[in-house]
Amino acid sequence: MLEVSGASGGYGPIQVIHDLSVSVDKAELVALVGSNGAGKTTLLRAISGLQPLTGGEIRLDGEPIGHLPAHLRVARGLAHVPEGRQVFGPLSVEDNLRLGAYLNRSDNVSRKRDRVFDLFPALAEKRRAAAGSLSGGQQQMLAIGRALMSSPRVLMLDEPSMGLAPNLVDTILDTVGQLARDGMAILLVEQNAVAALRIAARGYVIETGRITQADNSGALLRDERLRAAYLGE
Amino acid sequence: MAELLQYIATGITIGSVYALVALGFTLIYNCSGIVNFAQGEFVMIGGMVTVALTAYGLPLEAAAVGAVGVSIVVGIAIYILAVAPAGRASPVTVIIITIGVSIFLRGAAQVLFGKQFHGVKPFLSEQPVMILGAAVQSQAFLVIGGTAAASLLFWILLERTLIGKALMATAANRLAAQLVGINLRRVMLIAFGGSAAIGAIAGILVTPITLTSYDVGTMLALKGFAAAMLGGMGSPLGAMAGGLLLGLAEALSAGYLSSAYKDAIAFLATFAVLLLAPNGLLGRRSVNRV
Ligand SMILES: Nc1ncnc2c1ncn2[C@@H]1O[C@H](COP(=O)(O)OP(=O)(O)OP(=O)(O)O)[C@@H](O)[C@H]1O
Ligand SMILES: [Mg+2]
Repeated sequence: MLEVSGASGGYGPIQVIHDLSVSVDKAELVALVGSNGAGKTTLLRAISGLQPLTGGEIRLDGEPIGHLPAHLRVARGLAHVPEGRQVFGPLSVEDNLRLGAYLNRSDNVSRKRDRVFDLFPALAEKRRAAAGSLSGGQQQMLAIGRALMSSPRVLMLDEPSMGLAPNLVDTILDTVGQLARDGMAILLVEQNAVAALRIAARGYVIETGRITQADNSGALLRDERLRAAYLGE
Repeated sequence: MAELLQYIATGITIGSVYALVALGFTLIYNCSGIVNFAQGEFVMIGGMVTVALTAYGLPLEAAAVGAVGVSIVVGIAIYILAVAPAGRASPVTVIIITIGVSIFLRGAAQVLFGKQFHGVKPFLSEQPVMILGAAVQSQAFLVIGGTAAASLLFWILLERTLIGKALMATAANRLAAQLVGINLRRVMLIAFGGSAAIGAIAGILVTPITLTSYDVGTMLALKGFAAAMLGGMGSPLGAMAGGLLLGLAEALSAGYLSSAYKDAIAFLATFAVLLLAPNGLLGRRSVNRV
């Protein structure tokens, strides 16, 4: 569904990611783990078109999308829940969700919104509240809900567990797992490697902008080197 | 009493123009972080084109629509030809570009319309309306009413339409706006076109009172910018309040002190308020930009 091959890029003259190749299939949850500053966010930003690549190719459903501006990649079915949630703070929860379906002018917007409220009942109670007034966990739910409003085929999440209480982390990751079982291709970036690999089918380990390991999650979770480096053991 | 009322009427009238200019600043600033110093030229274009088209024999209404149209075209052209090519240049660079655009537009207006003042007749009647001894020009009511109507329309478009929400979303978070599929270029075109329309409306309404000339935009841009700062840069309500306050401060100081100092006093008052409240009267404490 999503195939990234040989992606290189960075900020101005500073190259941050080097020749990265990552792929995610339909109904597959793939984790991308790595320490601070490894380049995970940079890769997601490049895939969604927020910043350019200096080399490599991005394909969605076999079609190259690397030349498209960000908003047209959304139209192709790619959604990105960015690091730090990035909700529209002054706007209401409902407006945030409505804007999630910005490119979708048909009348099933309210049905999709109800589905998000089913998924995250806490949001339904706050539907008229300003997004900026929500708790961190609620903002994360809103950021995910907003991404789902575009009915994506590929969903990328950048550290959805960051700064959340452990029980909320479980709620959010359970939901993400469910979305993959329902057929979505999901690329999950996490520093919380154990939690991510537990729900993922496969995983990539990224270190200073390069992929150092790629395997199924079980194997990665058992890997000695990885346990020492990332799993805090 | 009659005197005070007179000054207040003048202040609100001229303040309405500052408010609209400030609103134009706010619209572009919120969507892009850019302060467009060619904002005053939209007021000049609104007035000038109305003068020119009525001189060609067009009815006032048609001339006004034409003036708004010309201004929108100029606003969009500014974005496409001057601002967009600067790409990811810093806001300061883009601000300097807009100052260049402003100088260019003034030069063009001077060539087209000459250096003299131009006016149009008041839309309703030349007779002032007497209120408690104060003589208020009928046109002043149009300026104030027109400003109220224009800002109400602006608010409805922003709050009640999807594209308006897209503008507010872009103002709140440009990164997330792109991620929901908002085309930033289209938002910018709407912001520049909308700002140009707002400025032109101000120019059309006020020209029967203040007259217009090729260079009225310079001072209006400064006043509008001061008003936007006074109200709190980025806040539409603040822009309206700042504009009215600035107009009042100016009219009262012109009346009770000396009209020679009215500009200086208005700017000093703005400066004093900003010392006490650096975010302006209705400004947000910190703007969350990415
Ligand atoms: N806007 C920027 N300008 C310049 N360098 C940047 C910028 N953003 C990130 N970097 C650098 O790029 C490298 C990779 O950063 P990135 O944010 O992609 O890492 P990450 O894997 O997402 O880290 P984290 O787990 O902390 O979110 C880091 O060295 C960082 O300092
Ligand atoms: Mg990151």
